[in-house]
Amino acid sequence: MKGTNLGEFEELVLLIIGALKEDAYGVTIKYEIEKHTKRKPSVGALHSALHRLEAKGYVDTRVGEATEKRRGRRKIYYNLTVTGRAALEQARDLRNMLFDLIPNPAKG
Amino acid sequence: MSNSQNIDPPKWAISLVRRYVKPHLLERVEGDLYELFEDRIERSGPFKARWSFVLDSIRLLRPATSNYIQFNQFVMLSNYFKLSLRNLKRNYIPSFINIFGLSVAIGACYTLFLFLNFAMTANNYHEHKEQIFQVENFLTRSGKSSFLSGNSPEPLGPALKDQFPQIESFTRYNRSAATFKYKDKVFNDQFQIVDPAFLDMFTFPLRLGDKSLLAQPNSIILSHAMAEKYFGDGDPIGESMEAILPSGEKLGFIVNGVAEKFPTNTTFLFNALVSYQNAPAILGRDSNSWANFVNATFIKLRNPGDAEAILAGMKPFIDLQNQSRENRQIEDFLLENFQTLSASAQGLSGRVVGGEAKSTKIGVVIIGALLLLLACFNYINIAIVSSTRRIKEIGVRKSIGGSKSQLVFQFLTENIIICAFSVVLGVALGANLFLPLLNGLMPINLGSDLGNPTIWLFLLGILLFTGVVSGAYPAFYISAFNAVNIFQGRVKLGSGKGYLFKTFLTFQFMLSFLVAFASIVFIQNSKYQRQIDWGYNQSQVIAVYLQDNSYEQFRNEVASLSETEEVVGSVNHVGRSRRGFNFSLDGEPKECLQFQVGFGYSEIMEFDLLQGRLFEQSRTSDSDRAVVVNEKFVNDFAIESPVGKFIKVDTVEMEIIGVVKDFHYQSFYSSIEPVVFRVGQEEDFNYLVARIGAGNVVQAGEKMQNLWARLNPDFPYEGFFQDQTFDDFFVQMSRPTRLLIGVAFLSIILSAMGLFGLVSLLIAQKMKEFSIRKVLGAAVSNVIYMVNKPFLLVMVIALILSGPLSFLLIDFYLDTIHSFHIPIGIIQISLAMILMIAVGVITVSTQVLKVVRSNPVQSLREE
Repeated sequence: MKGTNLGEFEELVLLIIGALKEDAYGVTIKYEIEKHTKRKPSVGALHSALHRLEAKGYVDTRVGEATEKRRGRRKIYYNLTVTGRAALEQARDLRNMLFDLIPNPAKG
Repeated sequence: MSNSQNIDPPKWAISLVRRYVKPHLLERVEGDLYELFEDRIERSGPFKARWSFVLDSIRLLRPATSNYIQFNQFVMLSNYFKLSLRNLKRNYIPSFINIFGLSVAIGACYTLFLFLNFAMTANNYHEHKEQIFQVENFLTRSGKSSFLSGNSPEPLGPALKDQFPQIESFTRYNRSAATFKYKDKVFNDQFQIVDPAFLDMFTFPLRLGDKSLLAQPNSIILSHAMAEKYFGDGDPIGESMEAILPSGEKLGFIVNGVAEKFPTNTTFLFNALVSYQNAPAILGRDSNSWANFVNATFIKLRNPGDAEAILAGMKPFIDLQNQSRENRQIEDFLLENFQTLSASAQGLSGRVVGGEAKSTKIGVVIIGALLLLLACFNYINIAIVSSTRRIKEIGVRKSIGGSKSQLVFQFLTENIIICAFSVVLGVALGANLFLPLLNGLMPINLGSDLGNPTIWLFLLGILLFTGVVSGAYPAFYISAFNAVNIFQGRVKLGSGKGYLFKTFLTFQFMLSFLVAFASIVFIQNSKYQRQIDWGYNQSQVIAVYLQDNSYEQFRNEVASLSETEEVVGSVNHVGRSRRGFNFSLDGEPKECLQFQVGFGYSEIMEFDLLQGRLFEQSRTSDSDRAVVVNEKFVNDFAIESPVGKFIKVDTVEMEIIGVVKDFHYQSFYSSIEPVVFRVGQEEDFNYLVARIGAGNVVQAGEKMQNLWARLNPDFPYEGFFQDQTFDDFFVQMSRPTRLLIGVAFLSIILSAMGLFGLVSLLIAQKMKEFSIRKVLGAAVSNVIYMVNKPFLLVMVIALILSGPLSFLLIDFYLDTIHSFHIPIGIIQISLAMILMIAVGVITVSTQVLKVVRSNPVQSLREE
């Protein structure tokens, strides 16, 4: 895996996983993204992002229960890891810092 | 949620997902898909849910989630694809020539393959084909080579079934003809008399009715074509038809079945089936007599391996059969499996299963390969010359790290794309143009059968073959250049000597010349053979085959017809029958052919008498102690002053009383052998031969047929016009000739297109040179000469090389096949050469005009 950068969509997914706490698996993450943004990620897009986040060590997985709706397939829950949280914070810090560098037109 | 329990997403989408999603992701992905599906059913209904499911499944096809797509290669391939299309568009003339030329060749190959496939898979749809055998006879014809006959004695089938428990069932198959009548529809048609097991052994499916009803004596089962002929679209089941036999007897039948249309690969078929119980009534003979023969007897074995044992046990039947027919002695039986019958059909006399000769099949493969090679040569030539325009692209690719193998791969991909276009176009051409032509040429009716997996396999094979064969050389050649040399301008393609493409062009012209020459020779040969003197006067003669001792009465009636000039009887008849003849000359045993004829036969046939005299009824010795011989007899046996010489047959001395000029008693394939005429006895007469007054021959034929019907109502009239004796031969000869003309046409077109492509490319390269010459005052004739020179040189070399080669080849072919053929010589060769040169000059000239008409300023102003 090249580097540990956080892509834009990856960051979004990571934030959602954090926000969903204990209930973050494929479908809930997808619905949450749809709820907060106007995008409708495909299952493939979502899982490839999740796959990359897992490979970078930002999330870990936990095997959950199988439901009737999933026709017996078990849920795989995603949790934010410590490094994942650190990456999010670092991204936010970087963004805030850079944002402050933008001159405020009101102040001239 | 519960209402959606029984709605499932599309199965194929699920299996697609299972196939390509990475295994460790599969469970979660699949679970998510199902959960989303259930939610969507509730939200937007089952239709949209299924649609979204499919979309989601397809969008899982991405590198992170699926195993199958290697991203880089995909991009590379799509880049190659794009480049090929751009190249096709930019060089549209050579591209068109390539694609069109290849598709003509592929179309021809496709058609020929359909034909071959038809020949190889003939009748293979019968379920019990492994278990079915035809009983054949080995016969020897008077000391000559033995031959195989498919006929067998009528009681053989039932006798075999009784004797051998290994035989599950048998069926005889005997063709007969009658006039069939249904309401106002009356036609003469063939029908087949078979045993009840026929439809169980040969699994021709029935469209209507019940095959078990075949066993009933008044039952008839029609082929699809026959049902349509009499009943149109109506339902014929239960309708009654009347058959009026040649004897005049009428039989009523009830239609109890109609077969499905026979598959195209059928060479064993029926028109209408009736039960063998009717045989004595239809054939007017005792079905238990070993002297009577049927067209074929088939047996079905429980186990195909038992054939050897049965054959060994059949020895007693040889004697039984030989005792009942003394003039037809068999040496042995042969059980031939149904599956090989079509392939060996040409070697079986009296066959009921048709098939193509082996030589036809081999010829078809050679022609197909030849055309494909021609088109590939075109492609290679044009590809090499046109790659000049892409030499910079190769340089760029190489300097940014493209390896040679990548370049080879790129060019091969491009090639396969071009070939794919050609295959599509070729199949369309083949199905719509060549196939109807071939069907018109051969007695077959092939359809373009794209539902057949073999065809697809063949097309794929052709795609890869042409793609690689035509692309390999250019690909390796072009990609081998050094990038530095390319940019320094040191590599110049096409403007060099171009030995390679000239070699290919020479080869192409040689092949085209060969086929053009061959077709000219064939056409002239068939004309020549039609005009060969038969050695007697064949026009205005009608011969009738006599089937019982009806000679005398029939002769008298025919003689009394106003059209008849003369009439005579004969045991053998020129063009139809003859026998072997053993005699001794000066104590040495010899062998030749004999015709036993009635007095006056030679006069009626108008043989040319060279020496001596013909038979005279007034001399009693002529009827058993005189022979008339042909020239060949005199020459072969080196007899000086033959008239008055004696030959000895057993103990009887026979005098040679006359010599006639050689005459053709069989087709021009065979040579003329020594022949003797002897006087035959009236009770042995098989033929009645009549010479008819000028202009009345057709009318006389009709009258004789009516006479026959009145005198011999039990036997069909088998009369024929003597001048139609060799019609079968001419029809047979016209097929390869017409096929060859087609091939010659195609190959000349292909060569011309190749030439056209090359000339247009070279002119494009040399346009500046021509323009400068024109500006400096070169004459038009000079420019024309310059453009034509290299190609005419190639053409001349090709013609010099292929002239003698073709001559030897065709001469050898004609000598092997025909004993009497046109002497080939300078005329045919010149004709073929003029044709080739004309095609070449016309092709080049179309491009030369472009040079002549162009304004030199325009081409020089560029850059």
